[in-house]
Amino acid sequence: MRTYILYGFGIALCISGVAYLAAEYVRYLSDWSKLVCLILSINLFALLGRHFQEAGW
Amino acid sequence: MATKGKRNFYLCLAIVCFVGIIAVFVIDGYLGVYDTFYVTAGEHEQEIGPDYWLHSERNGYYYPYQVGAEWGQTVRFRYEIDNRCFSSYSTYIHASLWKENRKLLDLFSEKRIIEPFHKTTAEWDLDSGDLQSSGFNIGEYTVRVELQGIERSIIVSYYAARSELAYPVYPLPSAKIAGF
Repeated sequence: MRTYILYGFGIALCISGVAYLAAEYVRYLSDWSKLVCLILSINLFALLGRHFQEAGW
Repeated sequence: MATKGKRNFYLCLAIVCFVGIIAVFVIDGYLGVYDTFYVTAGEHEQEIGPDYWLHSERNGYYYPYQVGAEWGQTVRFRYEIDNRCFSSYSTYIHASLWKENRKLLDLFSEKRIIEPFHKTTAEWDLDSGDLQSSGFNIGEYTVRVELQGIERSIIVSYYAARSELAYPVYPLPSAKIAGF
């Protein structure tokens, strides 16, 4: 149970970090970097979803 | 066992994506053309970094930087352009002095080619004596600097030279202190 709480805490921090970067600094990025970041973000959440699917969540 | 390995593989890939996002922000933040002004008025040198221009924009209007100088002083400008790109950057650096949307004089004009990951510096002076000889007086003047795709404005506010102290100076009561 404690492990899952730690996982949840880590995931929340990760998502809030990405959201903070997006809110503050995305406007300073070039168009190509925005596209790369978008693709990486989609992959990030898809892979996290797959990880938890494999874990049986 | 194989499922656990696969699960960790997905987690590792997700972490790689997260690190990739951070790396894109760092690399994109570093790369580009960055310009910095060093303005010396009197004994004070002020640095106007590229961050100022990023944060000075409000509702589509860029608030110019303001520098105060005593009438009669020379204001020195040092303009440093840092090309942090993989290709060379070629531009005309054109600095001019404006007042009430009217160009008064050219301060600097030169073509520069900056090699990748190199810097160049342009220097010019704004002498209030030149303004005085052209019939201009104390007030605000705009120094406008144009590069390829970049325009910067700095307002120079001239104020009157103080001929006397603004407050009275009384002699120290040294005798009283000595007697105490």
